[in-house]
Amino acid sequence: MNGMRVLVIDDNVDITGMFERYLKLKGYDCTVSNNGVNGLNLIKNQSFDYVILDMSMPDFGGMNVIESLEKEDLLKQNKIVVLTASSIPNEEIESLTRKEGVVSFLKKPVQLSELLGILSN
Amino acid sequence: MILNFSSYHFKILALALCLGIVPTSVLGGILIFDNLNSNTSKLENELVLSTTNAANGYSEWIFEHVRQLEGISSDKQLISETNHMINSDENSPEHFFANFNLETKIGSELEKNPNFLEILICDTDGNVFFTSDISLPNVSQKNESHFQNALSGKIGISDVFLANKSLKNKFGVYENNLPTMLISSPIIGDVGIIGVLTARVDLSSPSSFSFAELDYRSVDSYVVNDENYFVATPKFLETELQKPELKLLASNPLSGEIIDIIQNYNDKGTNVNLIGYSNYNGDEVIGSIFPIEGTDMLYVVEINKNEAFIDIIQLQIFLYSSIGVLFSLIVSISLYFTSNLVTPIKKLKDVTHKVTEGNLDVVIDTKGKGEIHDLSDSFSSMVSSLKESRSLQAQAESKYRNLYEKSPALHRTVNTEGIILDCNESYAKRFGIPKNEIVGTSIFEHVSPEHTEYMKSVFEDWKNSGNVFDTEIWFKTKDGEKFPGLISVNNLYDTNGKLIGSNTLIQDISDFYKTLEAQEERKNVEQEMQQVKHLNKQKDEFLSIVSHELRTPLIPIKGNCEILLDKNFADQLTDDQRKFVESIVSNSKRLDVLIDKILLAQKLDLNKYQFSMSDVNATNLINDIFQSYNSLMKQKNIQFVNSIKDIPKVFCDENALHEVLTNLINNATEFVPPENGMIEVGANTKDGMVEFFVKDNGIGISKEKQERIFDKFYQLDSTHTRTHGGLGLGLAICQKLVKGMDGNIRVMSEEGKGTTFYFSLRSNV
Repeated sequence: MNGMRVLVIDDNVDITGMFERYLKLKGYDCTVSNNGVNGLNLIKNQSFDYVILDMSMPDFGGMNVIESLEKEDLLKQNKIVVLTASSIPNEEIESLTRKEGVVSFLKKPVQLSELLGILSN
Repeated sequence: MILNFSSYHFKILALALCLGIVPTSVLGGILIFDNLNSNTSKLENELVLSTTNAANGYSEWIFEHVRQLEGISSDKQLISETNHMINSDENSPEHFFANFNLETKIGSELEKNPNFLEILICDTDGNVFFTSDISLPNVSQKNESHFQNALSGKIGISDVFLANKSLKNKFGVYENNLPTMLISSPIIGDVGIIGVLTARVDLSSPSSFSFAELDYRSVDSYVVNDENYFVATPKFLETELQKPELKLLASNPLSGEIIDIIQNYNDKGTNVNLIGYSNYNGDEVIGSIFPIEGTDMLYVVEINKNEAFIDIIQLQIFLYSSIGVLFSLIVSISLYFTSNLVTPIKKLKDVTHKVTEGNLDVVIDTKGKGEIHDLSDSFSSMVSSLKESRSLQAQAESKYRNLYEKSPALHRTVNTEGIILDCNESYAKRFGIPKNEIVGTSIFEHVSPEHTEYMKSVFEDWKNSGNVFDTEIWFKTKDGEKFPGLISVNNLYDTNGKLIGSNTLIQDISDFYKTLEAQEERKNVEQEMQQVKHLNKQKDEFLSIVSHELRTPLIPIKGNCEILLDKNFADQLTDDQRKFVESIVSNSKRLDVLIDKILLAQKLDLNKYQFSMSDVNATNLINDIFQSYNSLMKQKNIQFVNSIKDIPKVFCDENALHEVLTNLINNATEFVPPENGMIEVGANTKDGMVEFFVKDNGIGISKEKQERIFDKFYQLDSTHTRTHGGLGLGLAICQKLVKGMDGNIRVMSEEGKGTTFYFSLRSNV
């Protein structure tokens, strides 16, 4: 388990900081990005075991990231856990998780122990 | 053509005949009558002329004979011989010679005048001593009027009489019953009258004139003396001659006055025409009177007018009777026409008169035959059809009247002076004035004052053009309420086509105005609504943003607290620090729940909540809820009772059912008393529905408030906000969720005793 590379993409620094602290506490190699474009570049240029991707980001959101990866046929090489607001309809989430490369989702507010269960699968 | 007596052809023929006969007859009658009249007067004139001639002729003829006789009587030889006769002895030769001489003398005289039939000479005592005809009886002349006259020195003339013996006429033939008269003349000797010479004159055929002119049976001719006595007449019988007092009287045809004609004659001294006189017998006569020269006697010739006019009278009688017959004929035809034509026609006329007056209940006698019957029949059927149409009209009129009277529209009848003559109930009601107070008033009294001038111009326009259609006028009721109306007219004309008024229809359009106002109001409301919706949307967006923004900070708060409480850190925290972090976590969770509620309510409001319906095992669900609430209820010392038993599966959204139940339970925990609080959750099954209930023994809800508790953000009491908390979304969410699952939710509550919420859901089992 230790040494798994996890990339967290969220515009909220507090959230990425929380994830970074928790994942490092749990022994993960955690990289954070605070905007979609930067996060997309990181995905393309490096390899991560898991990507935690916030769907609601200003300018270039999680959806943009997924679509960009799809265009370059890079999505299926990744394991992405999408981070959604609770107000997002279930169908939308389901259609996201049907994509090859999107492995799971987390609804805000996030129960960190829940994330741990996904990553350890 | 068949001459049918009942056919009008015959009647027309009769009428034509009548029309032809009457004027012709009248004209003919007039002509005949005129001719008759002229003939009458002509005849009268002729008769007068004839009788005058006759009278004149007779008198002259007599005078001639008188003169001749005078000549004889005054002959010296005759006087001398008469003297000898008187003064000599009868048997003396002197007497004999005298007689012989006289015979010779008289014989020659008789030969000279054939009209002298015989001559006799008598002495002053009337004793006849000489006669030309010895066969004649020797009758004393003493009492004869002509003798007496002669004795007095005048010429005496006897009446005319028929000779009672055969006499030789002037033609030398003996004839019986010759009309004769005796003329006597005195023989005057030296010592005065010594005797009287009398001659019998034959009157049968006077030589100087002819009676042929007087070819009438009734011609009378006679001699009268100056005392108006008849002295001679050729026709009168002797018995009649014994009435010498008979007078020739004349009655004035104009005045009826009786005139003594002889007296009248003597006054005038000339001949007199007798026209329009009556004779002694009372018969009307036409004639003439002539004086006999040398005597004081008159000769009268008269003709009985009736006899003379017998032909004319017969003609008159014929004419009068013809006229009479004609008159009766006309009267009969008139009567016929009256009874058969005029009377029925008059009856018909009377009936038509009645019909004209509007009386249709007339009985028409259609008896009889022919065209009158046909006419009566036709008229009868006309009247009945008129009756029918009148009744239809009356029905229509009453319907119309009803329409007018009961119409919801306002009607009034107005004359050209603008006076209201009639109005309907609606009108009177709308204006709030009894009908009898409206009739007779001016239409302008009902117009709103600021519209009076306009109404006047409309009224003048109407009088000129007869047109008013949907013209808007504002009226004023008795209460002063003003209302708009559209007026239209239905003009009334007299028989000459002159405009005399109108039935005016007024459509009260105040409702229209109200509608307009309402529409405007609605538009405003809609605009407001739009604004509200816009605001609502803004609010929703705001809430969405707020809830998102509120939640986002909660993520690191909760997450970091979780890290702190993680077993990796557990040893590094003191007990107090751990309690602080736990407090942060529980409050964060509460805040999370509140935000969830807001978001849920939001979703339900926007109909964005998606119900995933399925058959749900509610018993399990409620058992789970009881388990999760167990510690909380113990903590709050609330008796939490689960009375669910054997309920079927419920067709619903499981999360929604959970939400509703927890909301109601949470709500109940807010209001139960601190001690002995009790909450019961149960369910009943009926009619394919499962009705759940959540019962508490809390403070209860008043009736008024029960109606509003499902409103969003409603708080039972503002003071409760603090003590009981909450956003006031719970019940609103419950109601929306239950309704979204085709269910019903209701509340039963009694203040101070508790509240029970019921909600029912469908069960497919």
